[in-house]
Amino acid sequence: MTTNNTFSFQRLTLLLKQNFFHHYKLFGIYIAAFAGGVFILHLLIQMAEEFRDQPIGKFFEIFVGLFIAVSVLATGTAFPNLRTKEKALAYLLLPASTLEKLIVEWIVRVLFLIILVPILYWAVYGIENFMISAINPDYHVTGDIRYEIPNGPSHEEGMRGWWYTFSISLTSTMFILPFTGSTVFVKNPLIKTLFALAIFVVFHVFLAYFFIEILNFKDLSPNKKILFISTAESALITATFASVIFNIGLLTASYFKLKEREV
Amino acid sequence: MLKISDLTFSYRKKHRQFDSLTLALQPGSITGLLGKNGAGKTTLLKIIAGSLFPQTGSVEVLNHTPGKREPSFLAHIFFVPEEFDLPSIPIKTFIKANAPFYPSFDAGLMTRLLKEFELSEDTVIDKQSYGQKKKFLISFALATKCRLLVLDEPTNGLDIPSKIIFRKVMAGNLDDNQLVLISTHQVKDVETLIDTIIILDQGKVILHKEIQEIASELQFTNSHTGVGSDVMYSEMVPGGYKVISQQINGSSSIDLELLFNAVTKGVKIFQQKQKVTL
Repeated sequence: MTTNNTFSFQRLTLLLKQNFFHHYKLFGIYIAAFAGGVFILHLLIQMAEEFRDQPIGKFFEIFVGLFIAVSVLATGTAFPNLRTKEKALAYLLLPASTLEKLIVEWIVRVLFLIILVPILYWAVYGIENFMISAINPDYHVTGDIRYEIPNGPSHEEGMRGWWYTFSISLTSTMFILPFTGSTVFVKNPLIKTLFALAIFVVFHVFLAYFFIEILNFKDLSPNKKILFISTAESALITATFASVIFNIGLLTASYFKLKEREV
Repeated sequence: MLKISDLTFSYRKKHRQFDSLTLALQPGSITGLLGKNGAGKTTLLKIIAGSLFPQTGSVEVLNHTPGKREPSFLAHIFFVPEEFDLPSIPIKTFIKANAPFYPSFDAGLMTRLLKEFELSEDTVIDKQSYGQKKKFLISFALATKCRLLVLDEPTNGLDIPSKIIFRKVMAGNLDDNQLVLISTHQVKDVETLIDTIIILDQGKVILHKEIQEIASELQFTNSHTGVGSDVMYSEMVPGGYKVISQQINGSSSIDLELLFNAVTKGVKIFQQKQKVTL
């Protein structure tokens, strides 16, 4: 019988199960810590405001801030089995392919997080509001969540797809960059990744400044091309491609780092 | 089953751990890998298991290149390192999580081995002593029924009764298609267990012979004197000398420690060409 050494759904499931069995206590602690943290944070905000009615937008902002922080933390501490020689040896010699190991870590660190954090936040928010309302019936959260979600700048119909792709790709970078950092750096990957991220951001701020101010991108017109870009739309398409390629490059780097890791 | 040709490996540029190391091993044996500190025993085991990559030369184990770490290869080898880290879960949960990766895993054997080592399935592994953890890991390795078992200093940390059980379970639970590679400093612990010996020194295999062959060629005795025309090597011990001489009685039990000392000191004690290589 030949074995597919690149990917097997059966091995992927086994690896997911193994991950759960090995780390369920830790996952439980993380969930409890997050829920407790959100509860206390909300309570402190409401206490500071003397339990006056609160706009829902405030909680949405808190959610977005927490989501970003938790995402960077979770993905930046991915591959915990690579942090010590002893764990790394057992992990690398576990009968599963590099691709499967990468996918499982991605599922556990990113997919679960995307699903779990909003649900948890919503649940804690609901419970906490219910408790406060029970104690103080005059307390209300005002506003409608639907108006809080940013829609992005208005674009012609044809460009909306590009705008969403660009937004999704840029958001993905938030997960992918620390994730790659956790395979590249052995010790303190999160700190080193954040440092690398800071350098990356500073570089791009200068790059944006260079394009906008020096090359006068803001004055783009069909008659005034800069490089091959002549309109805001073509600039968006270029940025989207650059961002997607950057993400693919990062994921490929983490794959090869894991594959070539020696212990 | 295991073929290494012209293996070169170094951690640092100036110091070569192995230089053109060549070795071949067949299934159905328990091979002891002996060597001084820093001889490269653990490094060699890691290269065989695929956690380190050779710089030049080729390594082939079970018709695979270990460094590729293909699941079809990893499912048939198990490496018990000297230092390890086990998760904070009960033994039964560990088995449930990890056994399915090994297609030949024998759950019945696992239960028997845990009983032999007096370990309970409800025990949380990482709360145990180093020796208890090691006994569990050895039991798990044997139960996987992997074709290649690589054990690095398996008796380190085991108490005397556990060492006896270790030898018993190793000798009684292996199949003919399995190869066990044991690296150890504690020669006495594996003396009665191994059937082939490899001695590494300065990046080279300086001895590779079957125990039976050695027993038929050499005689290990205690003597009042350490010299004589038939004495090939001797060591002073309380009450006399331990002596290696040419075998004349057919066969005798082997003193591995004495043999190791003689070989690593460069004493030429074998007339015939060594077993070794490809």
